[in-house]
Amino acid sequence: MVEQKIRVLYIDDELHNLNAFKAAFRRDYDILLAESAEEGRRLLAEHEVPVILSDQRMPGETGIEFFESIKDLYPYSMRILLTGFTDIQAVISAVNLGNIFRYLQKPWDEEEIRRVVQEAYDINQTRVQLIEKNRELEKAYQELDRFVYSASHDMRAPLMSILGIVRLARLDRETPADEHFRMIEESVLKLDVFIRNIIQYYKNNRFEPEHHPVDWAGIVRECVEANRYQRGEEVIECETDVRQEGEFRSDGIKLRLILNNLVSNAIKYSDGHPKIRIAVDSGPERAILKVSDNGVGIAQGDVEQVFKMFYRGTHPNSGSGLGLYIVRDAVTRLHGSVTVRSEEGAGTEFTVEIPNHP
Amino acid sequence: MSGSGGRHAFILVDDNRVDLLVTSRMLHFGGLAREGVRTYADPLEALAEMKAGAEGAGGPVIVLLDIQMPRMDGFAFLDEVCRWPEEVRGRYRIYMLSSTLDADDRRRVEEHHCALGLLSKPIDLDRLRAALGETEG
Repeated sequence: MVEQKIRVLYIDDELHNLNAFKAAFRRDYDILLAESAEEGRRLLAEHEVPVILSDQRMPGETGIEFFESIKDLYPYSMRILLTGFTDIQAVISAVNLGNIFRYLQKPWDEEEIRRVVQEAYDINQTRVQLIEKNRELEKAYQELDRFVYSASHDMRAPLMSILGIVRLARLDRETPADEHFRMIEESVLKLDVFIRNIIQYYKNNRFEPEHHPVDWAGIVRECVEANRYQRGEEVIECETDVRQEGEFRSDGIKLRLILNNLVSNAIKYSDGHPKIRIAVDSGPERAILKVSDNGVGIAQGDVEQVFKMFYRGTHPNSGSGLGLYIVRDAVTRLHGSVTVRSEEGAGTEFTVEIPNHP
Repeated sequence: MSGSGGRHAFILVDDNRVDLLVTSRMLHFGGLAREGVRTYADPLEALAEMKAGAEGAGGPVIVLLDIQMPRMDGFAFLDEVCRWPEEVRGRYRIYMLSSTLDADDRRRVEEHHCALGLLSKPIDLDRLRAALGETEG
């Protein structure tokens, strides 16, 4: 990749200075020129400028005054003053007020300008990165807040259900104990699914994808095996159709996560006898993975929502609210896409597209 | 009113089937429910039936409402009830019943005009009796 040139704005009322600056540095920098403070402000409004140089002595508005006027608007742009006069007192106070980063004497020394601009740019980049990191951190904290709220509720709810069942069992001597046990079992399994999903989510979120050759047939076979007994004794009919042309490189762990969540979802939401179909078409550019079922489908109002974190459908079997969120998150991390087509009462088909990383 | 000693009619709204079952049986065995407790896993269905509702013949119906539900949470449910005309709204006394520990949830319940209070899951019959202004026995 070509290193991007540093964008530098230079303001000077003397045209020959502007021209000389451009002639000296056009190979080093992406240069913007302005003949007045006014024009400088206009250019700043249109461009992102990490380093600004300005002449001090200009009619109407001095360089220091100009820098003062833009300081709060562009706090991360580094301000360098050029001055040919020894109006040192004004310069000192401007430096002390933090309005300028450096001042350089005119006529300038090219090497010195290069050094100072580079220094200024490095500081600018550090600050910009810091802001960016802070923003990311802020977002992560907000997500964490939401996560803790939802997760604590989702873990506590089944526990409180169990507590309720235990208290009821003491009061209710008519109902056979086995029914209370069955209800406790249901709540325990719900909690277990939730905890497993949290771990999956965490792992998926923390580790960058690694690209290795993928054996689609193997992944699909594994997934079918793993989900075969999800309904206990009940046989799950699963049709697979895997075509792989040439090598496909992607992150096997994330692909397994995606496929597993889609298949276990398909089984969970099937009404009566589950019939699942898994199709893979893996070519040189991308692989297309389709998982379809004969299940209850997704209510029209829910289709847009299913990938949201902690969103649960209206089906009584609805799970942790994390499964499809994890799917979309993993797909995004592999730079792919996932779409869903569903007909209520007839079934649902998820289509995942993953690019090959040769 | 009836021989079983229960004085109140109840409606339960909760997406969790186990909780619906547990709470309704607790109300039954605790002798609070006058008749069969009506349970709804779908808040929208509950709203529709409450609005059309023929109940309320023997005093207000006690509604125990979960907070976290898909499609419509307990607060959206309350907002909807608030929009009803007084003669419909007045047929119900709504309490939230949730396992939440969130201070914000508690505050929102306290501030809501259409909710009478927040009860913790699993339901505590003594607290419910106290809330309904009854004394034991």
